[in-house]
Amino acid sequence: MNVIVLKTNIRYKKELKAIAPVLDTVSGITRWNVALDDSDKILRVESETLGARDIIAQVNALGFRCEELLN
Amino acid sequence: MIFEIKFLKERTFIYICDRNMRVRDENKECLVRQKALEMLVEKGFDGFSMQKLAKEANVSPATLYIYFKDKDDLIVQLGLAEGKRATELSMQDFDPEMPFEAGMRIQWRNRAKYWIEYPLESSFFEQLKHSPFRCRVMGPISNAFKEKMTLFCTNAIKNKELSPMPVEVYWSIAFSPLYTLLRFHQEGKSLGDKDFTISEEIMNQTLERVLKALRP
Repeated sequence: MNVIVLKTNIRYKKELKAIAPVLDTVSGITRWNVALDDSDKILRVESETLGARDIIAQVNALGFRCEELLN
Repeated sequence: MIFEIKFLKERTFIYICDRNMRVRDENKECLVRQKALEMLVEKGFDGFSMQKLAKEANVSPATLYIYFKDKDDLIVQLGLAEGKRATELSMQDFDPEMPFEAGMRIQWRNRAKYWIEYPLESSFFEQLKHSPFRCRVMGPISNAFKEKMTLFCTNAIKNKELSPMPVEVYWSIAFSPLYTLLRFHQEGKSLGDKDFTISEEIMNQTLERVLKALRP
């Protein structure tokens, strides 16, 4: 299981509500959540098949910035 | 029977992590959990953040988010691990079939042992019990623990060693006095700011009163 950790500019609950239906239906995403209380607005994704690039593309398409945080 | 507790003279923190932690880099995760406990006890839930923890534990925020979903998840995970430790410790050498007085002595010894040997962890667990995380942490406390304690009391009532009473009344008499002493000990002060260190003698004296109050 890959855990992908991304820094985003998703700031509000209403923005989260807007992206949720899309991320919920992306095949390959097992689990995801956004930590709005973190200054980096972390998007955390668990997936067996997808990589950071796939997730970044999805999030960008929804109109948000997104970059991978490395260890 | 006497309480077999090693009372720590100095208020040292003992850092022991669960040995069955085999996820990813064990040492790193262990250190992260320990640092998180220290920060949560010292600064409370509001003053705590994943970014601050990353800095203190000298790991990247990305590493933290690999271990935990978010800040709440981290707090709940720590709480669940503590609940497990506390209940397992309280069951050491305990058998619900044992005579009431012997069982109570072991319960007092074990519960005191947890507070004295794990001061940081027990403070954190207390903090959690008085927070909105309470349900998420106390709910999953093992049924085996609850069943054993219930059976212990049912047996004692049947054997006429314990007066029948509502569970809240029983708990208030049976364990609240112990926790009051342990809190004094943890603060190092009792009433009117008097210096206080718990001892076997004080515990025995209190337990005798408790047993007297609980007998039919």
